[in-house]
Amino acid sequence: MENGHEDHEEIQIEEIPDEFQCCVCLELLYKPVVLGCGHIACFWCIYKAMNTWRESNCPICRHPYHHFPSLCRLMHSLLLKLYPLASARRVKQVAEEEKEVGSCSPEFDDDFSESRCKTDLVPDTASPHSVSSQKCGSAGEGDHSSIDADVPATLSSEINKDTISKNLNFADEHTSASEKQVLMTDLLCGICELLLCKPVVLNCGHVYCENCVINPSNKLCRCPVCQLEHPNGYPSICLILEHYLEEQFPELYAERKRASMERSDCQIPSKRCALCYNGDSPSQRFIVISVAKEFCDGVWWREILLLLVVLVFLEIRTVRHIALIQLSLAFYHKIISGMTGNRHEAAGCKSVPGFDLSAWLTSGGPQVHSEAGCDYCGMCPIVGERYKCKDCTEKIGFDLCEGCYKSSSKLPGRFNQQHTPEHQFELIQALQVRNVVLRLQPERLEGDDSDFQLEYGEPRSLEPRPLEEDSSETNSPRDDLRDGQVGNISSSSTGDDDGGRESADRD
Amino acid sequence: MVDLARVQKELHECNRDVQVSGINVTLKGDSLTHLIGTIPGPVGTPYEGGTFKIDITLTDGYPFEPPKMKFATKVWHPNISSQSGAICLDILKDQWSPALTLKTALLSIQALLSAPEPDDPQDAVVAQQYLRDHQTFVGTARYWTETFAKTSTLAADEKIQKLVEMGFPEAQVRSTLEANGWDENMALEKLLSS
Repeated sequence: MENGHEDHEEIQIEEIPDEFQCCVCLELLYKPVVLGCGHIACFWCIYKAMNTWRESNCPICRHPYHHFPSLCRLMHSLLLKLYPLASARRVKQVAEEEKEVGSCSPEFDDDFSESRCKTDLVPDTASPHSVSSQKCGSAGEGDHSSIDADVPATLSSEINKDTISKNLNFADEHTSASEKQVLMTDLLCGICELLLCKPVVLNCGHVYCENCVINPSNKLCRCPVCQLEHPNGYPSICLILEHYLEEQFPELYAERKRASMERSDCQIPSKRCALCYNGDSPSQRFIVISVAKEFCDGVWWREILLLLVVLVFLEIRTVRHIALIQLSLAFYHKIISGMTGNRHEAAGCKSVPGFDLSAWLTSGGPQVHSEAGCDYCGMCPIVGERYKCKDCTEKIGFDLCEGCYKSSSKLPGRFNQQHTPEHQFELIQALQVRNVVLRLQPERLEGDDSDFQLEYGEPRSLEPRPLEEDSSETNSPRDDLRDGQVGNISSSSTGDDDGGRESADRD
Repeated sequence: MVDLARVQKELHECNRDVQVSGINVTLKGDSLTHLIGTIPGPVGTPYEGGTFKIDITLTDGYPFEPPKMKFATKVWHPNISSQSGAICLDILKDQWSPALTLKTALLSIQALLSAPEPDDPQDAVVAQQYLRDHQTFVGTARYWTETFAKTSTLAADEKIQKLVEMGFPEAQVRSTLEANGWDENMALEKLLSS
């Protein structure tokens, strides 16, 4: 029996094509996550490969990313169906590793993922978000209660036995049978509910057609199911998944592709000029406008240069447009330059402010919490404020970035933490080089309250805040404070500034 | 903790197409963390015809940290230390990616042999020679390849030892052997006729 077992494993391992092999561990992809560039790797492989100090790069193409993507359930269940034996082996292997390390990856068995997908696919935009997140939380708890790692091990061995016995019965038909199990219904887009075409995987792990989810008029790409924004521009097509679709459903996929091409062709005329709402020859003008936006950085000679370039590209009859473009650019500038400083950082997880090492060394830049990732949006390391759960007992902890802490969503953690919305958070200070230096020479700072606050900023507890409070109360004072450095440690409760001063006096 | 399963897979993969790539990775001892890689010198370079050995040590962080590689064979190259064999190559330092393997790293080293970067040297003496006196550089590199990369030094020592035992002085034996491309019989004839 044992020999037979090994033989079957060998066969399975050899059957895995290179495209479904993780580039890091060189094994079958297990719990795959898909990066923004479309490359796939195992959950733990990406987690371990991420840089804890600054943004990470894709292991394959070095495309920079700052957010740890969520599991791609569609790919996961696809691989389970395609390679049940190898998957069972990987389940066992990873369970052992996780037991050793003491942290867990997200668990979901097949039934769970299906039911979850079904609930996910129902767009319940009408219901308040907090309710749906609570639902998810409780569902998560039920599933994650098996945290002591014994259960997954026994489960996997059972799966193993089952699949092996099946395999012995249908040794020859095995591969064909497993491929037949993959139905078109497993590979549908959540928006158009048709076969995926040019599939893109968002940071939240949901898969859509490129044309369905990417709206050219909007720079941001938001998941319609979980309402999370995809960070760092548009996601690229997951070529491995596309290739699989092409092979598996050649005719249907070709048709879908043709249809989507036609649709996007039709869409272009509907894009009217953003300035005069004129529909004719729009593509030309769109080029000009997008070029203008790229080049426009407020330097006058560049704007003149731009104007000349625009003149070369367009006929004289559209001069009116150029004037309009110039005017709108000037406006755009005034507004943007006035806004970016405050609003962009307040957005937190949506666009991570570029991390500048020199700024960090002199502590002028945002705080960087190395070795801490946001459990909701996946930002790692957390840049800005970090909120740590006081009640989660898992070794890996539960952290949120500023943006996610303020938003209403409180999903279970990425590592099966048993986090609930009732848990309390504390604000954590990042270790900054300047603070360490200051700690060594505290006498230099006498009389400078704000610096003392920075230096001796202790983690302080925060009351769990009701969700409605966010927008109305906190934003305006916070934005003011943000201009100075005090904003780093100030928290929303009003008594905090006094508290900080007290600690400074005490010292 | 080194990912031993991955190292084993890499060894298996690498030895499967050793005929095509010419790149070979073998165990140094019992442990999977000390390995010896061999690369053939690229064709059309002064290193052509040589077989270069590279000492590989896998750190605990592998594959998330680069493997430590250095030449065990002496090489005359601007980016390789002629003394220690240390290699100056970005992918072995900050540009390492966990998707790279021992084989791809060795391939990169082979590419480095055919495309030196004298502006970012490891060995300043070699780099200066490369830039100022290219002819001599090519000559030296070829000579080093002939001397160190074609015959294993162990075999050379054995040959010297053998001829010394016949009663010839060691210095003369060494120079005659070198002059005759380490051919034992030719050298013996020369030594006898002189």
